[in-house]
Amino acid sequence: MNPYNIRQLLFNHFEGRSTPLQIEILKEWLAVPDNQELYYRYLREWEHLNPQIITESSAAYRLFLEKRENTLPGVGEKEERTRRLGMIPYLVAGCLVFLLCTFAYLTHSRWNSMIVSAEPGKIVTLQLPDRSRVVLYANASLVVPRFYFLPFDRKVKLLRGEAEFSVVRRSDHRLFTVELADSLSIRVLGTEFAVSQNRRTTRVRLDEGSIVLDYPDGNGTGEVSLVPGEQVVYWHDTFRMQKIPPKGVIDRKEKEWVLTDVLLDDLVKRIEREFKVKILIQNPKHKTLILNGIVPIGSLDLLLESLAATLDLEIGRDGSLIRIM
Amino acid sequence: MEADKAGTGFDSSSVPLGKEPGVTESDEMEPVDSELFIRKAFTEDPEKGCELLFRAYYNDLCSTAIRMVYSKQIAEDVVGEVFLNFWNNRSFETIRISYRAYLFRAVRNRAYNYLRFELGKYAASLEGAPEPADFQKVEQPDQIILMDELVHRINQVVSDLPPMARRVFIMSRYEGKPHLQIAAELGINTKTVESHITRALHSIRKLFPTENP
Repeated sequence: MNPYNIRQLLFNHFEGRSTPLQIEILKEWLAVPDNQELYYRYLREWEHLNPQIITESSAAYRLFLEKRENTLPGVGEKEERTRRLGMIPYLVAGCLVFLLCTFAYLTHSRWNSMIVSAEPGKIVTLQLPDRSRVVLYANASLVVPRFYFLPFDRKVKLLRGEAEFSVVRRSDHRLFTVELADSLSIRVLGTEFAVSQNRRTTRVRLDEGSIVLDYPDGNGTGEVSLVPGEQVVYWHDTFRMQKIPPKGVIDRKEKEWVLTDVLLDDLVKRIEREFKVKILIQNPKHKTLILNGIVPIGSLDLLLESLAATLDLEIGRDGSLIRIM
Repeated sequence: MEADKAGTGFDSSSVPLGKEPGVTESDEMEPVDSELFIRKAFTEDPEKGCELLFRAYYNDLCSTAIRMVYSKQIAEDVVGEVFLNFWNNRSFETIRISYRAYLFRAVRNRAYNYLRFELGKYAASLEGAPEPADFQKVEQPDQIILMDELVHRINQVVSDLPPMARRVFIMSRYEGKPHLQIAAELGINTKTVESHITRALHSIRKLFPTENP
């Protein structure tokens, strides 16, 4: 191909006016490596004749020099090396801190807990590191952290006795756990509740908020959730957990009723229904007496006798009218 | 702007190909035997050689780049990066083709990759920044023609834009004006400016094939 034709062809091409045939010709021509050299030569010439832009090459060159200085391979490498070495002390320090923290965490029970006890007849109020409050009643013993709660949860242990808790609800919803004797534990989400432990039973009452009580149920661990007003009683020997609604429970058996936290008023109403009698509680204050125990219901008289003995009150019967005095 | 004067133009000995009668080009910035001269300068004093090379080709390279990236700033960045690589890799020692061919090829490839990257479809390219080793390999004719056609199609897309959109696009990308200024000068609001530009870029994006060739 005549060189002049090539120049013409390429200039035409750079202007975007190549026909498909011309493009094919060019492709064929470009397949020869030496021609590619020529292509760029003409490209340069064409750009020179038809610049799309005017630049300040001196200023650009100065900028280029600056960049060149800043990226000298040798300099760059040295900087890299010192930077990396400089990191090592920090890494070591970091590791040490981490190990120290782990060690502290694992041994926390030794250095971070203390036992607070209430002597018989005394009441102890204490405030926990998260501003939760605990009231300890006679003979209660509570294991609490000496300084701060551990990062992941808030744990205390009620070794024995009775206590009331007022747990602050944390914004991060960190669980507050009260461990009780006999592998029971209470998971708390911020709330007011009371615990009473004795040899036979453990009672938990929820006044406000929400808690879950974990307990050994003979086969593993059971759990029961409480809503405000609810109480549960747990019998250690039988692994039995019973919920007591605010108004108490009358557990009806064949020959007896098992009463748990039943108000006298409610019991009386029940007896009235059961035996078709009318009962009068003379002293209004007696209405709110709480009864726990077993009441025989084989005969009304027997029941009344038992009741009288328990309450230490006089009960008179006049046919179907009964008076509690 | 260089005038097209009759003069000595390129000496055919600078290019190992046939003579070219009738090719006339005069360049005040560029001496005769430019390529050969520059190569010699590199062997004696690389920094001087680099400077000569820079001054000889900088504007033309930017011109070829801007046809693809449509932004003066980006075009200059692309060319600057190519020169930096050229220097840092000491390519002037190893490449066999002319520096001119190397630089133009590198700039066009880089501009092309930038455009693809910016339009988001792919990570950069088939051909990245060419290393000296690549220049033992010959560039595919298809690749060269592809880029020419792309330039042509971008021009087409831009000139096919509605007049206002075209003005906005050119003012924004080519002249580098901020949206607020464009809005003020044309008496439209900035949201309109943005939507014009988005539309233009969208049209350009459609030029890229959806699959690798």
